[in-house]
Amino acid sequence: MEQNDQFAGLRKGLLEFALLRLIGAGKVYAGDILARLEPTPFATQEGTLYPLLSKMRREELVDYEWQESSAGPPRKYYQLTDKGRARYGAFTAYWAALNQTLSDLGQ
Amino acid sequence: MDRVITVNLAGNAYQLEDAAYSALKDYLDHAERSLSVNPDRDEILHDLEQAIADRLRGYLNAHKSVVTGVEMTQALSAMGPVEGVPEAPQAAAGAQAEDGWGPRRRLFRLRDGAVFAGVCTGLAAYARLDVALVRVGVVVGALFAPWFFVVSYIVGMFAIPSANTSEEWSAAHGLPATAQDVINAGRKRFEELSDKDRWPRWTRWQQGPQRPAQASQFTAPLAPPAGFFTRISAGVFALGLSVAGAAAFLAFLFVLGNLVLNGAVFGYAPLVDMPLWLTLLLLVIAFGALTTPLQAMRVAAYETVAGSGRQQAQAMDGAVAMGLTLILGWAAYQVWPQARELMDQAWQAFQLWQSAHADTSGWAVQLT
Repeated sequence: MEQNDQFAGLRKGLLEFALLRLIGAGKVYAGDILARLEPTPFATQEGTLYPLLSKMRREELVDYEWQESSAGPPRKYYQLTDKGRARYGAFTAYWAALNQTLSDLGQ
Repeated sequence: MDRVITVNLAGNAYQLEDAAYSALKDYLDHAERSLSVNPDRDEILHDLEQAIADRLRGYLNAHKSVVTGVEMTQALSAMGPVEGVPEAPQAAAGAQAEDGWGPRRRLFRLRDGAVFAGVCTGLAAYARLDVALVRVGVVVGALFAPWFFVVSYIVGMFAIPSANTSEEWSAAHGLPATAQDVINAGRKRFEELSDKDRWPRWTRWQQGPQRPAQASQFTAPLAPPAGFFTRISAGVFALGLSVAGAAAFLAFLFVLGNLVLNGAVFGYAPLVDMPLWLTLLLLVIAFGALTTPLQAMRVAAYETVAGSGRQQAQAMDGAVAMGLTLILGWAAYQVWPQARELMDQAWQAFQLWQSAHADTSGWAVQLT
């Protein structure tokens, strides 16, 4: 629990990149995303996810298309744009550099 | 029998109990406010309604067509509070207010209320101390090491910048400077409060639809009255501080009396060539410096206990202090020979002085 609180800010900052990775792996809708994140430390709720997805769409990192669903109304399926893929690549490189820095600092 | 309200969520009708309706309305109103500056507000709200509808469908079947308050509560807490624009400015402001109080403080000289150049006022604001305390500290220090303090003060005059703009003034006090900072600080406090109130709040409206429409969870109380437990512990704290204060006062009287009457305390005489008036002055300053913060803490504690204003708290503190001083003084007279000796001595000195002045001063005669 203590660890949870301690790293809450870190997870919050990384959530966007978790989404980039998840959406990059294939088209998903919000319900999928929530279900996939549920067992991970990035577990989140609609109240957080929807505003974040809408912000990422405004920044043209993701895009969505409507698809009919067998159960209930049509759903928004999200996918990465080229800009989103570029952002994810930049993030991965930066993340590796940060990790390298952290382990170098210990030596 | 309960009234049922029909609502349209993302194109489908749902029947809600009164309590479920007001919970949903509160949730959506709050979402709308959180997203008020978001260009995609309407779209997000529509998606949220859709998600709520999906969750509500799980509670309904062919034989159950109405959503209860409890079910709505479950659905909404699974949705989680809708976050405002999760964009850079707010995150940056959050990091800035990390220490829970406001932006970083910086050391400035403050001209308001300054005696010379505002070094003491600036230090006091920086250390969040009363300026009188800082000044007494500097004066007492200057008595022992005059050159060090005079030179430090002059260096400070030139080395510490003076706060000239309101932003600098705010930074000196560690207060938010811009309207945005104030808003961020307020929002942070508000979030803490509404987090704290969450559970009592849910249960409050589960009790039924009699709940006043505007007792909404989102009007955070500015100064919540202290709870029972807080007041009890503040009371114990205040009493402890009062005993300490009364004991300090009696010790002060003991030292003072011994110095005046015997010129020594416990056989220890102050520096031989220091005049008595200077010794007494130092004693008074030391006593003041020691007890001023104690007294401020006591008054604050009594304010919490009584749940009243500062003046009542001060009166309460004074009354308790007087009573405790009398009790402790009487106890010292009973059990501590040295205190008893001093008090008898003081009484004799008073009688001597009185008989010496009895002829010349009228008021002493009236006293007897």
